[in-house]
Amino acid sequence: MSEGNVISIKSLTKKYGDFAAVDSLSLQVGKGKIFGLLGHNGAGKSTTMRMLMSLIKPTEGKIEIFGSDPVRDHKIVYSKIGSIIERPDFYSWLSGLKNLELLAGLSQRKISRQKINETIDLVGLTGREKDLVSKYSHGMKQRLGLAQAVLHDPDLIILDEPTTGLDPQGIIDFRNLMIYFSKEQGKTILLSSHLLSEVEIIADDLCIIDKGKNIVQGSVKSLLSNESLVSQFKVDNIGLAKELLMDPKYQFTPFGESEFEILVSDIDIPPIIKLLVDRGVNIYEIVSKRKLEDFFLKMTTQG
Amino acid sequence: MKHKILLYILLALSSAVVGQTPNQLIMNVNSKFGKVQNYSALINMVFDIPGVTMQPVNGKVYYKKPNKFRIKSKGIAFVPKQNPYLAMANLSDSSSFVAVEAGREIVRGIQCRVINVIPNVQGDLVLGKFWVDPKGLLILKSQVTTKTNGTINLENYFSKNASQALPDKMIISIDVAKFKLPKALTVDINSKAKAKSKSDRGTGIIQMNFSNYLVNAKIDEKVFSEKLAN
Amino acid sequence: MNRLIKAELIKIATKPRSYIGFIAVAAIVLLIEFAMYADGKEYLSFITQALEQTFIIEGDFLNGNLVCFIILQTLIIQMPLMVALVTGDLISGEMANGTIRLLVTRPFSRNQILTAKIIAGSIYTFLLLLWLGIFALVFGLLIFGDGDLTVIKSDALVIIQSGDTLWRFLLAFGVAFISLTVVSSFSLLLSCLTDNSIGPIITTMAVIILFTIIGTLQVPVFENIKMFLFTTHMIVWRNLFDNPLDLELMYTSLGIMVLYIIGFTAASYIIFNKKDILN
Repeated sequence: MSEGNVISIKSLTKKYGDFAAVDSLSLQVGKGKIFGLLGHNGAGKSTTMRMLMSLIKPTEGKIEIFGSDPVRDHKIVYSKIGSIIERPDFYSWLSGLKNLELLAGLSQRKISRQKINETIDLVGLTGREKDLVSKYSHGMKQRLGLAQAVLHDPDLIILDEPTTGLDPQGIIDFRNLMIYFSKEQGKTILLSSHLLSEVEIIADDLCIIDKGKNIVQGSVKSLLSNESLVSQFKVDNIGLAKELLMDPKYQFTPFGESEFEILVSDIDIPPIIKLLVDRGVNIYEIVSKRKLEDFFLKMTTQG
Repeated sequence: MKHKILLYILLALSSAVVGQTPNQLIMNVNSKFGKVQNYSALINMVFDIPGVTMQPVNGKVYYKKPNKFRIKSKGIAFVPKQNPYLAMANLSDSSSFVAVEAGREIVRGIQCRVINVIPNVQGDLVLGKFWVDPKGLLILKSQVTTKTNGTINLENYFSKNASQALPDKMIISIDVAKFKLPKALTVDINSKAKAKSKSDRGTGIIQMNFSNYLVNAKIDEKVFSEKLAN
Repeated sequence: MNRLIKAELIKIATKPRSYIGFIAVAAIVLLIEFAMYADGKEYLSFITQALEQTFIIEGDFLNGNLVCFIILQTLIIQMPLMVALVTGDLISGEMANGTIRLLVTRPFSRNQILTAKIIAGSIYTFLLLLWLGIFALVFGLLIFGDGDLTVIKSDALVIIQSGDTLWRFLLAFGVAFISLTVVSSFSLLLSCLTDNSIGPIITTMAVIILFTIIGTLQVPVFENIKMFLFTTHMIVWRNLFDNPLDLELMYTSLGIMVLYIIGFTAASYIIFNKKDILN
């Protein structure tokens, strides 16, 4: 394992009969990074995460976490990992607080009641912690899931679709927490998500999996820097804007009476704005979107 | 004259030893035992009853003349319904029975006279057969048939209390009616050992070992009249 | 490991289902004791009537020891069910509700997790038996008093003196604990095989009932297999209430039950370690 990699996966394979859910997958997750694992439904993301967490056994391949074999050094490795795999499930006849107390009791280090309360506060469950989990909404269970994952202050957090069921505020809170854990506390985060926009915002590195294979891996910045940005404009004179942006490279696409999309790289946006404004086109709104989405779709349909 | 006196003495002696009529013998035996007004004693009972497996039971036995008899034990004990002293009580009046000599037998090394007793008054006693030690005036064996309780065989073993006709050991043999137990309520214990009973013929044997006799002391009447637990 | 065991015990203690067994035992025992108190003498009269033809019977057939024995007899089928209700759910219940992921992703090996569940399940079984002992024997003696125990076998009455009963009951509870451990280890094995919460419980009971029926039928074709059915040996505690004690039979049955426990438990470890947790 190279220095600085918290997770190192080499030729990881999981077969169910003839079907390969994960097929010779190799990837590395650097220390202190937020790593996004992307793929369609059934691409092998959850299977990969389950193998990392020893929930299922690989057919072939090697996994190293913190430089150790997680099967051989189970106690040491998993004491430093917190995770949510698939949906967060709890003991429904207990309250959120009791669940956390139960799980805190299983930690290698002593976790105080104050620490539990702080974690509850951190995930936004204060006031509901004494309610039975059976009464929790899906979003509240997600928050509780995050709480149990970080309660013991792990060095590595593995999250499988962590924002599922969260409301918009919850998604923002989650994003801020991930940034806090990574940037402030130096934790390494591996997460999979369908919210590509969120991954694009918070992830340092990403890997796209398709049919169990690693399609592409790299830093978000370097992977997307050469990709064109899809920008949506809202203007008062769409006809004039179309004339000015007739070049096929822009792929001008109008929407309604005042909105249009063009394909343009980051550096070309300011000159286009200047061009439109100078020629009398008033711009009310510019939104750059679906950059990662496009990249993702492009990578997963190429094969 | 002297010879006549000597002859009469000899005749009296021989009749005393050899010449007691069966009735007289029975009366003499009764008379000897009759000196015991009451007694209490510790008792150890060993049971050999078909269809019952149990350990020996300790208890206390009480007797009061003429035929009150009660065994009390902490645990479960089976006492023959027929009072072992019933026969003796019925034989206290010489006019109430006819005793017939039925020969001689040796019982445990002792020459016994076998006396059949037939009551000639209406009562529970049907027939009695007694093996009597004529010297010790002790009944070593008896076989008594009553209307209510059938036939009971009894053997008495005497040693240190023989002078008061109180046995150290009494063995009672009694016909036991075979009882059927409802299958639904039985426990099918998978035991290879059969029920520990020597008598497969339907005869129950109860051995009673007596000790610590307390004779002719005060006994509370309540002992004989207290209601049984069952 | 202690932390794991503590967590398992907390889960069992806080789950409402765990108390079904305790409530059921208390209810059944109190019901029987009430019935015996009200009509016990009449119930036992079939013994006394037959013997009273010939004997005067000293002592009392109806006492705490007999009532306790009747209760233990009555609960032969129910106790395994009540144990299986909890132990059959130990793995499959967590698989069904997904909480197994919480455990397996903790710094404990699967062997440790399973061991903790086995120990917790055994503690539950012990407590349930203790509860039964208190209600059946202690309450029985308090209500009905002490006395000789009458065991009604198919071919005889066995009367055991009161001073000779306590050690038999204590040993019987000990043997019953081993019998119930066979049940708990079997249900745990089924629990490792399935992700369904109810399946192992129902299957355990179905197997016990089926084997018990086979063991009871006096059919020649079944005679050869009875020896191998664990249910045949589970009732060996009753042999403690016999005179003389058939020690060879007791040791054989105990040995076979221990072998079953080892076999079921070993299989559980193998299966649980190999199991992919997919739910």
